[in-house]
Formats: sequence, C-alpha cells, structure tokens
Amino acid sequence: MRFIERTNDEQRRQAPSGDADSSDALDQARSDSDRMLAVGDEAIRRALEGGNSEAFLRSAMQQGGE
Amino acid sequence: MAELLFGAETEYAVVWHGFKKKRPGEETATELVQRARMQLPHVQDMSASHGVFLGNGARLYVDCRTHPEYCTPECTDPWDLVRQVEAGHRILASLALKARVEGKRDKAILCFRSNVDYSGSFATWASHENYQFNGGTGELSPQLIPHLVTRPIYTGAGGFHPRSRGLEFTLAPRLTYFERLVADNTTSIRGIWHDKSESLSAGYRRMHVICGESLCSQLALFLKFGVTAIIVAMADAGLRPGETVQLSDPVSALQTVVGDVSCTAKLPLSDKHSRTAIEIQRHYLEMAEAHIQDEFMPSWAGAVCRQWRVTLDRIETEGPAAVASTLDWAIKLSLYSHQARDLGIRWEALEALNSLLDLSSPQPDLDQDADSLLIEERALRRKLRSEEEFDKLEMLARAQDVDIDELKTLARQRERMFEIDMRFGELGAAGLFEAMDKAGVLDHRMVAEDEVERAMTQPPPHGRAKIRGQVVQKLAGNDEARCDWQQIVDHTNGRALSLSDPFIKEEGPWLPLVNTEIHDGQVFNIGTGFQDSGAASSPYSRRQDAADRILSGDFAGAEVLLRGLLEECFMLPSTRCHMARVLVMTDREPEARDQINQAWSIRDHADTYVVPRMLFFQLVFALLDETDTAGVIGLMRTALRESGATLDWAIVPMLDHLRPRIGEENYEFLKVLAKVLSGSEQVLELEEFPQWRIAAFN
Repeated sequence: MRFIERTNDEQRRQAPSGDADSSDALDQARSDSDRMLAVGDEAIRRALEGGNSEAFLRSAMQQGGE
Repeated sequence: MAELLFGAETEYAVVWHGFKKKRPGEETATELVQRARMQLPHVQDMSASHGVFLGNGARLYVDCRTHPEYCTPECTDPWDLVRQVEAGHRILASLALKARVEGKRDKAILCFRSNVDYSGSFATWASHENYQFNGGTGELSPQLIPHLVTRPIYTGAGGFHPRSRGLEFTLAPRLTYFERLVADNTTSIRGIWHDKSESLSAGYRRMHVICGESLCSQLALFLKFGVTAIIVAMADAGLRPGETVQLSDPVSALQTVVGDVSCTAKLPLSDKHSRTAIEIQRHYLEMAEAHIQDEFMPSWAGAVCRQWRVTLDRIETEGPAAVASTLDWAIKLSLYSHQARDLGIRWEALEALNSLLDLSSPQPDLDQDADSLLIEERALRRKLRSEEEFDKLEMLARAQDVDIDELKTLARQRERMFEIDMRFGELGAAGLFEAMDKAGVLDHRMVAEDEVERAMTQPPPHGRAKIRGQVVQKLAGNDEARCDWQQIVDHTNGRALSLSDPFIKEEGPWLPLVNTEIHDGQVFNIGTGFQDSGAASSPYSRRQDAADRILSGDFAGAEVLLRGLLEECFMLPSTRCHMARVLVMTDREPEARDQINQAWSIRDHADTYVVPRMLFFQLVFALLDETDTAGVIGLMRTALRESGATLDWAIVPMLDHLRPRIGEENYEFLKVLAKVLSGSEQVLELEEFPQWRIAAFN
C-alpha cells in the first residue's frame, strides 16, 4: 500500500474499565477541547483584528459563477 | 480488483486585501493564473484563454470570469485525490503570496475555500466531483441519491444558512440551495442529481456531482471521495445499493439532514418506513463490506470502509462532540458556538432569536435579477440592525420571553460570524483551520506532508494524468503547445497525443497533425488530411468547410454541406444553428425559424455554448416580430452564467444583413450581445441596454 493508514483510531484509548479511568478520559477530552477552542479563539482574534466584517464580506462577493 | 478514476474541482473565493479600490474577481483571478504561467511549468489550456495545465496533470483557469478554479488530475485512489486537492490549495496559496505587492506587506491577494457568499449576493463557490463509470447497467441516480442526501453527516463543510435572517448553523450551507431533485444547471437551479453527460473519455461515462462542498478536513475529503466511488462501483456492477432506502422526498430530506446537527432526524422512505441519515449510510456500508472482495471493487475499498464505520460509530454513539476535532462541520459547531457565547449570544437561544428576525423580514426572492437582489438584501440587512426595527420587535420579544439586547447583539454580530466562517477556510497560515491544524489540536490527517508537497509538481502514479503531467513537464515553455483533458497538441512539431483512454499506460503514439483531427477529445487519423472537403472527409471537416463558406458568401455551397450533415444527424443542435444562418442570409426566414425550433427541442443534447446561440436567434426573431423579448433575454441571462457558454462566433454579418429591419437600437444591442457570446465582451457590457437590465433571470 502506498498510503498512510490513519492510525489514530487504533491508538485511541480503550473503553474505560472503571470510574477512575472514565473520569480521567473525560478530563482529558475536556482539556483537549478547551485547548482547541483556545487556539481557535486566538486565530479568530488575529484574523479579524481591526477589520470591518461587512466591508470584508463585500470585498469577497462572488460576482457570478455557481 | 477494479481500477476506478475520479477527480475534483474547487472554485476559490479571492479578495484583493488592503486596497481602497475594490478589484473585480476576474482581475484577481486572472492575476493568479498569470502568475502560474510565469512561475510554474505548464502547457496552455486548449479551451480557456486564461488557463493552464500544470506539471502535476491538473488544470487551473479563470472560471465564469470571476474566480480561479483548480481541477485535480484524475486519481485512482482516495489518498491520491486528497493529496491533489491539498496540492491545489497550496499552489493557489503560493501564487497569492507571490502576487503580494512588493514592499507593501499589508496588500495581498487572499484565497478562501468557501462555499457560500454571505455578502447578500446568494451566490456560491462550487466544489464538484467526477466519477468515471461504465454505464452499462441502467440508471445510477436511484442508487446514489439516498447516499448524496445523507452523506453531509461527514461531508458537510458546516457554516451558516445563507438565507436565514438570523444565525442558523447548518451542516452544509451550500446544500441549502439545492431545491430540485434533478437539474442540468449548476448555477441558478441546482439539483441533487446533475444530469450532465459529458464523458471526457472514450468508452466510459462520467458522473458529475455538484451537491458537495469544499472541505478542510482530510478525513472528510477521503470519505467523500472514497465512499462515493465505492457506491458508484457497486451500482455500475449491477447491484442496487439504494433500492431499499429510497427517500419519499429527497429534496426535503436533504434540507432535514443539513439542518440536524444531532444527526438523529428520521427521513421518510418510499416504503412508508423512516430511517436516520446514519442508518441509511450504514445500509450502504454493510453492502460495501459484503462485496469487498468482488472483482468490481477497488483494492482500497476495505480501508475506506474501516474509516467509514469508525466515523458513523462515533457520530452515532457520542454525537458531534466525538468528531469535533475531525470533521469540518463539527469543528465549526464547537468553535462557533463558543465564539457566539463570548459575544453574548447563547447558542441554545438562537432558534427563538432567529424566528423573531425571520418574522421581521421576508425571505429573499432568488428569482429576481442578481443586482436587484443584492440591493434589496443589503437594505433589509441594514433595516434589521436599526433601532426602529428593534422597537418594533420589542413587544414580540417580550411575548416570547426573548431578551431584546441579545437580539440586538445577534443582528449586529452576524457579519462577524459570517466573516469567521469565510476565514475558517482561508488558505495560508492566517486561515483558522490551518492555524488550528498547525497548533496540533485537530485530528483529521490522511496523507503525509511531503506527499502533498510532491503532488504540487508531480502527477498521480497511474492513468492518463501521469502521462499528461509528464508531457506537460516536457513541453513546458513551448508556447505552441495546447492541452485539454483528452489530448495534447504540439504545433511546433506538428503532432497530437490522444489521452482519450483514461487508463493509458505510456506516452504515444503521437500522430502527425496534418492527418489528424481532434474532436470531442479524440484524436482521429483521417488519412487524406484537412484539405479534402468532399464526401470522403469527416463530418467535422465538412462542417468547418460550411462555416468557412458562409463567411465567404458561398451560401449555396454551405447549404449542400449542411443538409448532408443534417441527414447524417451530425451534432444536430449546432448544425441546425449553422443552417439557420444560411437561411436567414438567403431570406428564407420561416425555414430558419423552423431549424431553430427543432434545435431548441433537443437543447438538452447541445454543447453549452450552443444554447445561447439558439436564444440569440429566438431574440432576433422576436425583435423582427416586435413581440415581447423579456422572456428570451431572461433565459439568455441564465444561460450565460454557465461555464463554457461563450465561444468565438462570426454572427455579425447576419446582423448587418438584418440591420434595416431590426432598427439601429436593436442592432447595437444585438451586436454587443454577439460579442459577449463570442467571448470578446463581458456580460456587464449589456447592462447599459434597458431591455437587458429589466429582464429577470429565467
């Protein structure tokens, strides 16, 4: 095979076997989600900084096509 | 195992950023393609003056005179296609970066993988797919439509409903415009099933899918291409994978699917039962798994099925949160709901807020003229943000227990949320998806970074794309070479190479041009060459001879040739248009009208550029009759939105012939229209004529 098999599913944590594991997994998922949102928020702040959204959308107007 | 072939087309939104004066999309798109001509090995596109074929076998051109479009080379597995789609993004980003004004870092061209235009024009940027099939086993559409309707649960780009007055999240914003089951149009009337029959290869057919979206997630792209190709293969082999999941109303079901972020809505089936989108996808998956070892299946089908199953399992058992770092729509749902909360808008209150704003203003009427629609829409948007409007809504808000301040925030922050959605797919490091990906918080990759880099310059390893890419690299710099999907012509050396066999394994043989004709993508060896205009020459030669005779005034000679071609049923719509021209020039107008009526009755079989020509004749006849022209002009406006609607056409001598009868004003209008149809003037030039301005799109 020439392709890279997606491996993250194989690497995913096994189903939690007890309350402690379940709680850890949940904490980890929350932490991952928080980090993703923090990175996203910062990217949004940088991308939109000092801009005018209405003017931006006008400048991007699709003038034909599909 | 079978070999399949598929490819993708992406339209990009482009913006000149940092300039006070707005530049038209065409100027920006042309700038990018010209950069490609200066900087990348290429051969000029045979069918588009502003287009090139690149050394990786892809095509880059200016589409609809407004935006750049990148068409991947044909690929034989979904990993290659993901690489090539990603390569297209990188190529565009790189060209945009190089177009940056020297010394002025704040002035740049920005490119976006966007799907819908939030400026009020209600236009979209398309992302189409193509799947090759044999076509010997009946209709594909019933087998594919339930799949196309339900796949947005993993292929949706996510975003906001472009016609909502408030802020309505949807799995697939572009698909909210699909209001027909079947259509042959790609612009104004979009169908879930695109009824286009343009093979672009010898011995195969091509399924053209228009109800898809530009995606950022590699996993979503992989599933979009891989799963759809597998279902096409099953249907093409005679299986009936869609048979027991026929939807009672596919158009309505599609709108249900794209509006349901829980992916749990039940969709009514024709057999009176109902199933969720996930259940319908599982039905297809189980059939694919049952046939995984069959001859017609590609070798990679098992790998696709594994990813398909894992994705459905995740969505079904844990909901959108389980794919919130993996699939486009779910990443956006998580990010945008968080942003909205930060702005003071509760995501869970949106439904009530939206319904109030919807009550306040009518839905846009998309049937009206594009300019009028834009003016009206922008006025409505301003009204929705005015204090007077909030005063009117306050009573209603109280009655429905809605916080009027939250409503004001929503109305005033909509544009910001729309900009965020466009910025999500911005190419380059500033794009939101790319920034998040670079930070390592996403989980979507299917191909290696160095393979994407390689795909920017190298073709896929199999099929005609490999040969095309290799030949383009060899001929790069040869201004006399031309390329399209099915052939390469090297005028310098007087030779042509056919690529009509999609699975061609090696280059050649090149045929000498003097004995060669290229039509509908096939290189024909006609022995005696172009010069022979007698009965032995090919129909293409005879029709060209007829066209030349019309221009030289030999109408009798042209008529003999054209009548012979009509008897042979050769390309009837366009041949009838040629014949009508001869008949008008020889003052046999009733016969000309009959030819155009017959051509119109079979317009579904006409090339795209022939339809505006038929309408041109109809318009001429209506002007001669002094009857209402609004209807036919409306149809013309719509027809000219199609890609490929214009082609060089020497019709002005006919107008000169009719000038005394149609009057000066009409003559001037028709002359400009003729130039537009020939591709030498822009449609905008017609806006100065009142009869054009007042006609609505039909």
